[in-house]
Order: sequence, then C-alpha cells, then structure tokens
Amino acid sequence: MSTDSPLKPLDKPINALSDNFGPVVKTRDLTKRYGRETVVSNLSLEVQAGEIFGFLGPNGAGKTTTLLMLLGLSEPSSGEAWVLGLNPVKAPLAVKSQVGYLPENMGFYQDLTAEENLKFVCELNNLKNAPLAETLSLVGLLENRNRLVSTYSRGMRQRLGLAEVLIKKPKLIFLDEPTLGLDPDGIATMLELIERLPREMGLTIILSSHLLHLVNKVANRVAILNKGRLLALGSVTDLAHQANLEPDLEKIYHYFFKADQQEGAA
Amino acid sequence: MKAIIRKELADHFSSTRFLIIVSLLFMISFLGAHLASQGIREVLKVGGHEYLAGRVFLMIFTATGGFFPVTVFLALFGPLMGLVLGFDAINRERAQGTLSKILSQPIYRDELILGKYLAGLITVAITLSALLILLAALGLIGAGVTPTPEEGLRLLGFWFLSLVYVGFWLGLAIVFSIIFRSVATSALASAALWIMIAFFLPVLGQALAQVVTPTLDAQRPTYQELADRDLVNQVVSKVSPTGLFSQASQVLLDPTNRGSSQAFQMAVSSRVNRLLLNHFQGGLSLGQSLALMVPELLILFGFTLATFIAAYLTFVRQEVRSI
Ligand SMILES: Nc1ncnc2c1ncn2[C@@H]1O[C@H](COP(=O)(O)OP(=O)(O)OP(=O)(O)O)[C@@H](O)[C@H]1O
Ligand SMILES: [Mg+2]
Repeated sequence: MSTDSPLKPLDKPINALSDNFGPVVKTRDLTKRYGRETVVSNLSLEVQAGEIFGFLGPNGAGKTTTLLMLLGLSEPSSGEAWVLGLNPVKAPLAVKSQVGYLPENMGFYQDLTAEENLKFVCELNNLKNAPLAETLSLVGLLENRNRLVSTYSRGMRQRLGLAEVLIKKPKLIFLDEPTLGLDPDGIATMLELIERLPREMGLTIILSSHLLHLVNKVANRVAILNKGRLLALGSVTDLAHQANLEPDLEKIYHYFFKADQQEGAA
Repeated sequence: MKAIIRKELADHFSSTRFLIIVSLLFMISFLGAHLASQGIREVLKVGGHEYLAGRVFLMIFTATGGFFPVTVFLALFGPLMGLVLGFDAINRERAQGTLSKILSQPIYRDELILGKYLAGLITVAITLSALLILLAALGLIGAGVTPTPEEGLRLLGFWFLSLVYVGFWLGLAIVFSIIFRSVATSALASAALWIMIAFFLPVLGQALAQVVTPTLDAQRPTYQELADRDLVNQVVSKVSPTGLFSQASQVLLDPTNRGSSQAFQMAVSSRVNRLLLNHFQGGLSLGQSLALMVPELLILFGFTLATFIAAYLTFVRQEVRSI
C-alpha cells in the first residue's frame, strides 16, 4: 500500500496491481436471478482505479445484489465479474482480503467495545499489529474506543463500520448507503472521509446512495440502475451532455428514469 | 477459524443463558450423585458386598438413590446444553447484521460454521469434564470409594459418549439457527424436538410395542410375548439418540449390564439369581462392555455427524441476505 499516493484521483494509477489488471472492477453481462425474478440483468461496466464511482437506483434496483456478487458472497446466475483482476467466485478469499465492504446495515457485537469489534475484524483478516489507534482516530473515534458499541450513536457506528473497512488496507471499498440514518453533521463527516480516502489512501470507492446531491459532489462517474438494468453510465458532465441538461445529478437521474419508463410503456 | 473459535468460546463462557443451564445441570446431578453415594455408603457399611468390588464407584452415576441416576438425568437434560449453545448461532449474527460483515472478510463460509460447531463442542467438552470430575470427587468423599483404573477408563468413555450425544443436539440447534430467521422460532423448534425425542419417543415406543405385540394376559406375559415386545422397543430406541445414549451409557458404566432385554432377564432370573450369576462371572470386562455398546455408539455417532453435515450444507448453500 503506498502512502505517497497521488494528490488527485485519476492522475495516475494507484498501485501495481491495478496497473496490471486494468479496471479495478469489470463486469460482463452480470446477471442474478432469484427464482423467476431477474434482479440484476446483463450488467456490464468498468470502474477505474482511484475513482469514486456512484452506484444509483431506486429501492430494489439491484445495487446491493451487484455488490454481493462482486464480493463473491452471492453467485451470479450468468455473466462474469472481475475484481482487481480476480474472479470473485473462484478466488473469493483473495478478493475479500483486498476489498472492504460496508453493508447497508452494518452490525456490531453490542457487548464488545468499539476496539474489540475492530480487533475481531483484524483477527479474521489475519492482521497482526494493525494500526488500531490510527484507524480509530481517522474516523474520529479514538476517545470512545473503549465504550461498548451498544452505547454508540448511529453516526458513530457508521464511522466504526468505516474503520473496520479501512483497517485491512483495502484497494477497493464498497460503501452501501453509508449515510443511511445519519443527521446532516454525520453525513458531512462521512462525506469528508469518503472524499479524503482516494487521495490519502489510494482507494477506489464504489458508493451506493440515494442522496443524489451528495453523490454529485464526490463521484467521478455514476451508474444508474433500475430493476436490475443499467440505464446510464458515465461522468455527470457526460450524462448531462447526453440528456441535454445542466450537470445536476438529480435532474439527470430523473431524465433517464422517465426515458426508461416511456420506453417500457411503448 | 481460530479467531471465530476464540470469540465463540469467550461468548459461551460469558453467556448468562449458558451459565444458568450449566448451574442447573451441576446442581441436579450433584443432588443425584449425592443421594446415590449416601445409599452406597449405607450398603457398604453393612458389609458382605465384596462381590461388588471394582464397580461400586461407578454406581454414583448409575444408582438411583431415590432420585434420577446421573446417567438418566444427563440423557434427558444434557441436550439443553447443546441446544442453548447452538439455537441462535447463525440467526443472531444475521439479525444483528454481523453475518455479512464476517463473510465479507477473507474466510470461507465453512470456517464460520465449523468454527461455531467446534467452539460449541469444546465448551461442552470442558463443561462435561468439570461435571464428571466434580461428581467423581463427590463419590470419593461422599461414598468413600476409590475408582479402579478400569472404572476410570469407563468414566472416560462415558465422557466421550456424552460429548457425542450433546454434539448431536448442538448440531441440531445450529441447523435450526440456519433455517429459521427468528431466534425465538429456532429456540422453540429446538425445545419441541427435544421434548419429542427425549420424552415422547420412549413412551411412543412402548405404546407401539403394545399395539404391535399384544399380550394375552397382561399380568403374566409369556416369554415369547416379552421377546417380541423387546424387539420393537429396541428398534424404536435405536432411532432415538436419547435411547441410544441411555443404552450405551448403561452398558459402559455398569459392568453387570449386558444390554440385556426384559426377556433375557426373565430367562436368567427364572433359573438363577441374577446377582449371583454376575457375582460368579464378575461382571463384564471393559473390552466386553465396549464391544456390547459399539452398535449404539456408531448409530449415535452417525446421528451427530448427520446434524453437522446438515448444518454445513444448509449454511453453505444459503444466500447471505435474508429475504
Ligand atoms: N435472497 C433473496 N431472494 C429473493 N429476492 C431477493 C433476495 N435478495 C434480494 N432480493 C430482491 O432483489 C431485488 C434487488 O435487491 P437489492 O437489495 O439488490 O436492491 P438495492 O438496489 O440494493 O435496493 P435498496 O436501495 O433498497 O438497498 C429486490 O427486488 C429484492 O427483493
Ligand atoms: Mg441495497
């Protein structure tokens, strides 16, 4: 892991691995069916090293399902995925040791302290002498590290979740609605952290969120999903261009959404 | 997997639920063993029981003393230990949102389920060791008898047998914790199956035996009638882990026990006094007892393995996310 990472994302590839393997994430016709229902349908996209990639779509669009497939936690029904050049179905451990995942409802052991929770994650990752204090201070929980998680506020938990993701020094992180249930201050803190990470730790981030104005602020590129299908993919400027709109993600999102519905109706 | 086992062990030994069940088991088996040892002491005081030499010690576990023998008590209530350690193994993690977190770390799913199972088994092993050692100490002090090496070995065998037996219930509870999303449901299902297998199945077996092999004169059943009924009883008890454990532990802990049926006993006692017979034969050797209980042990082992494999397969195939 390089500490002397580039100042700006996308200036230069982050590390040797992503150099060798091209896109950090690549999917080709990735599909997931539960019974008869197709919840992710022929998804093909690429995420480049150092990007903050916004993953958008209404409830049930298939965002979480896609992330689970990328982690090897759910098997694709068809299609393929590569994460850091690896196939998550065939090499799940190699993928999981380099990818951090903050689930939409991150849980903790309530009867353990924040630090004990973090230590357990280190043990599962076989990390010895992990920088516990540093990571906790990065997310602003150093003073409260010996408190039981059951006494933590929603925002603190979410930041502890981020610490658990970062402690393993991942190359890529998936944040599934990291701002869920946070107050404006909490959201601002989380957002600031998200923005800093690619710069300071050389991370690539896939960020799933419903808060479009926030994604607008931080994301280099976005994908818009609906009912498992990819509606749009590109930077906000590109998409604005396509839609003949000003670069406002909210408007762009609704534009592609309506276009899709009209197509469906036709 | 070490991390998982370590955490589970810490959880188990600090869990109030588990401590409550264990103290209950300890207290009641203490009472049973205490009463048994007092009874033994009374008998020994009278004297003339030299023929009992080399098997008095284990009577602490098998004698009734006006109460459950320890073996019967463990057969009926030992399962609780396994159930309480397993019934929320997976669904609790799922409910509190730690399951997807654990599984997104670089470990195989197998490791999680195996780690949980092994941690439960280690907990049971430690608890059983403590229990048997304490009961043995009670026998030493209370009844004033020292075990022979062979009795020590038999006790060790009983420890292993109990571990396999409780392991069955542990596996069963873990299966329920995977199938049922709700912790309450899996607790209830575990308890229901426990009552079913431990308490109703034997009664059901007897009822079935009576239906299948009716006796003409209930007061004076013939040898053939008894033999038939035994057969049905035996078959039924061999499909019940509790029955298997009871039979095997009787044979193991009581050298005079030949796993014999009612019919056999009747056949023997009609000719010679059974005790006298045993006296002349001096009971079974350890090897003979072991040989006698091999079928029960193997079937029980099969049951235990089956619950573990069921837990493993259902878990590995299940979607991470609950619906
Ligand atoms: N285990 C499952 N079995 C059947 N259907 C499932 C399962 N898990 C998810 N689904 C369905 O898959 C679809 C996509 O779900 P997914 O969680 O990926 O959506 P999402 O985009 O993350 O939505 P949200 O914004 O609400 O988090 C939904 O319709 C959901 O009901
Ligand atoms: Mg989701």
